[in-house]
Amino acid sequence: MSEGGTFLLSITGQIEFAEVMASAGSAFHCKYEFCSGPDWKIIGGLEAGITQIANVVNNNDRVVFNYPIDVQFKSTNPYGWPQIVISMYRGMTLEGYGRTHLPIRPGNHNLIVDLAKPKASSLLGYLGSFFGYQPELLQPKMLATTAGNNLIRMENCGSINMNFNVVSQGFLRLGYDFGDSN
Amino acid sequence: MAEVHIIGQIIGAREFPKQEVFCKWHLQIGNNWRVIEGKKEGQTQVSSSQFTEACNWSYPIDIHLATAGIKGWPKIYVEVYHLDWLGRAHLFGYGLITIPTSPGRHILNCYTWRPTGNLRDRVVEYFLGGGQYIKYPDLIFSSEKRYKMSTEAMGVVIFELDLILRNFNNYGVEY
Amino acid sequence: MEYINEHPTKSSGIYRCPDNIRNFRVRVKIKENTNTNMKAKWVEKEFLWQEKHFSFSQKLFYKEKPNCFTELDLHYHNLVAEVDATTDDILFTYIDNEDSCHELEATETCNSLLNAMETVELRQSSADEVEDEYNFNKSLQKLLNSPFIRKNVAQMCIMLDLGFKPSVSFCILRQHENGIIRTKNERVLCTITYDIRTKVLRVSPDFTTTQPYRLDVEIEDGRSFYYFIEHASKLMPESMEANEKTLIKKINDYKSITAARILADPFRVPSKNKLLVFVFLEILSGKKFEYPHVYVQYFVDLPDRWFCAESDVLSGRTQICKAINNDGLLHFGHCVEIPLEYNFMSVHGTDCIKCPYIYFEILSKDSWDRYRTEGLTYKALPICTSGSFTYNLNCFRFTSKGPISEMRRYFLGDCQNYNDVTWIGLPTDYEKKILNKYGTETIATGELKVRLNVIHQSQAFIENLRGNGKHRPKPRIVFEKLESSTLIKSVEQVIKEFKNAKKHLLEIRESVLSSTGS
Repeated sequence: MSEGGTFLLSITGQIEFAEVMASAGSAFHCKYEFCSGPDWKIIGGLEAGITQIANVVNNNDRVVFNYPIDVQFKSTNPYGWPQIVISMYRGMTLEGYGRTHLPIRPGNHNLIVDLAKPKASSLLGYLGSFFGYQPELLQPKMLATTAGNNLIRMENCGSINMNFNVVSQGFLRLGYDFGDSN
Repeated sequence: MAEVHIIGQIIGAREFPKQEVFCKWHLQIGNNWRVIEGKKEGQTQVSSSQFTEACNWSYPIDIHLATAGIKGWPKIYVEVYHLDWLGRAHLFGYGLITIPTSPGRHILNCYTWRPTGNLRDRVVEYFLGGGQYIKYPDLIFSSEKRYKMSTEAMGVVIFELDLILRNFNNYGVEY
Repeated sequence: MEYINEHPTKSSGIYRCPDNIRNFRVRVKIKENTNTNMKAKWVEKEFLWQEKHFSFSQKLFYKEKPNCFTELDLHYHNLVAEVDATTDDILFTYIDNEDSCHELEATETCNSLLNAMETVELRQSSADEVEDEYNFNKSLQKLLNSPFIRKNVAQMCIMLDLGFKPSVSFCILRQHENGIIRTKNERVLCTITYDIRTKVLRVSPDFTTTQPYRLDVEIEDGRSFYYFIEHASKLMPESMEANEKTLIKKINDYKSITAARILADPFRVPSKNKLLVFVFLEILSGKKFEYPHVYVQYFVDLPDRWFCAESDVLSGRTQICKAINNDGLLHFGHCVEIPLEYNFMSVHGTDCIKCPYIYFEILSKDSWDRYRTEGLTYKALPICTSGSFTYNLNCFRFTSKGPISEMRRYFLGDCQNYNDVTWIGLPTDYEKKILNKYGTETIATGELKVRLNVIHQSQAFIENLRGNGKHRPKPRIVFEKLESSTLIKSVEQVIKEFKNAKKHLLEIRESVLSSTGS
């Protein structure tokens, strides 16, 4: 039960599938974590996770994960609304990062998150990319906090589909209005 | 005192002449507005794509504002730049949008334009890059002096914003 | 006779423990299931977090000084010396700093990918909280300082000691007693893992409710045990909980008070009987006009009883934009804020509220400074409901049948060849009943895309919404609401005037009486 000036947010859903340029025989897995503001606290559920290894049989097939996401938050303030940061790997090399805010209005939402991977910033790295060198971010969370992502070159490479159900409690009582669904 | 939460993202850019663009955005508010939490401005990373025309940033925006009036409703002003292989930044456009006034989810297109010069300027720009910049950004937000400029159309920056309003009903505001 | 029907499956329970883990207690009750008629007794023991209990075999082991090599072993040697060595404890624990504890939980890694994945995960979780400013050097330093896999979890295993088993296979521990090699025979009852960073406790298998778990000891013996795992931590006393709640409430109240003080002035509310309509106009883009260098001029026409505080925003002009690509695409991105006021007390009888119009003139200027009208269009401002509206307005321009006007337009330019732009719509002071525009020739030109955001504000809405402040009532047709409040106001006014009149009458009567009386 929410008390005082707090409201609760419960999000269930799944990472459904990813559409990337998948060649037959490649194996993908995904990691996700949440990043939220200072007034937010996770009170239940899974905070982070790694999916299973999904193999691709035909070229350009969808990479299906169907990985469950289930988390409950408590907060006093919509500032710092939680974001989910997803890192997708092909084998052991990075395939891309994706970041999105969790949906705000209650109901069912289908989100398509674009993936991007960093490009090498030096000439040596550029030559290395022909041999499989793929730079990674030290902390994928910085995509969510935007601390220091000036002038990083990134390349878009696909998208991930996710489906969420959002239930909130105590929001309207505090006077917030988040509009009708359109 | 009423509060406005702007939570969303700059999805990306479309139809710019070259890829590898990044965007600087600023929030413009009136005198009776204050930013309680959140950044008023920011800069996205540089994005490009190998096989499609897409240029997606997915840059998060999260701002908490307090206000004592409707006048001066926030606007977002963007400057789009292109980062070439030598690391120079060329201006690719200016744009301005008003934050919507009704709560809920909005997908907004920000149409950008860039000032053009005369023929000589354009030839120089073709070879060396650069081009004309606006010295005082006031020209962009205020509407009175705009007619002096001659510009050309550039691409579109797409925003996806969710708006949460609080306590506006107590002051008789209908949105 | 106890007949236990179902055996619950052993699955892990995951709990969050924000409080100190040292207050955690677990109680295990175990009983051997024998087929004989002799009733076995329940053996019960409580364990604190990371509390070391020794089994019989361990006691024997650590008692011998030559067996102890490491510091931990010596420490245990001292502990065992204090404890009574003869009691037969079948329940004991392995705690975090012992290797055997981690060996029991080690998963078999079947391929190199799985191995590598575990490495990747743990390195991720050992990153500290993200600071505001990302510092590449600091982050790299952290990674270099802790290159090895360090699990951030503390573990504890509750074990069952089944005594010695004479056997020649698998020697884990050798106990030399009378030269017979004995092997350790113990089973894991319960594994408790606590992640210090996320404060998540994992109890595997989970706490039992009503039915005990069953443990079967394979290999020859065929013994089986039933055991309960119960959570036995003491709960926080009521007073502490109440204190915590009041403290949290105080902090929240303080926060909301400071937030409310951030602005000096209170929210500006219009005076009574006034309706404020804020229109945020954005001229977005245009396309398919004839000449390339185009700008837009707009003009808002206000009918009676509408006022505008800043009259200079009622008309304006965008920058000149050069059209690109085949469609002749133009981007303006021009934003204007227009605050309008409507005074609705002056509504008498059945007068309808007239709507303001906005007129757009699209003009082009070329390098010879010739100005041409590219298009004209108008729209009624959507003031009856608030919200966001995007319009694609189609434009036309005036022409005439002969070739002369087109040639004039080409050579000289034909800017604003009309007297009054409101002619294209409905002029606001048009009184006649029939509108006849026959005879004027026009041709269609391009399109203009415009977005309007409208917000209404009035004191009348406060009264309406105060009752059910939770949700916005629908439909949001502004003037319906206003009308109900004007009715009330007019009734109030009538009553007020009646009271004044009555008071006046009484005064006159008194003065008359006093004058006649005196």
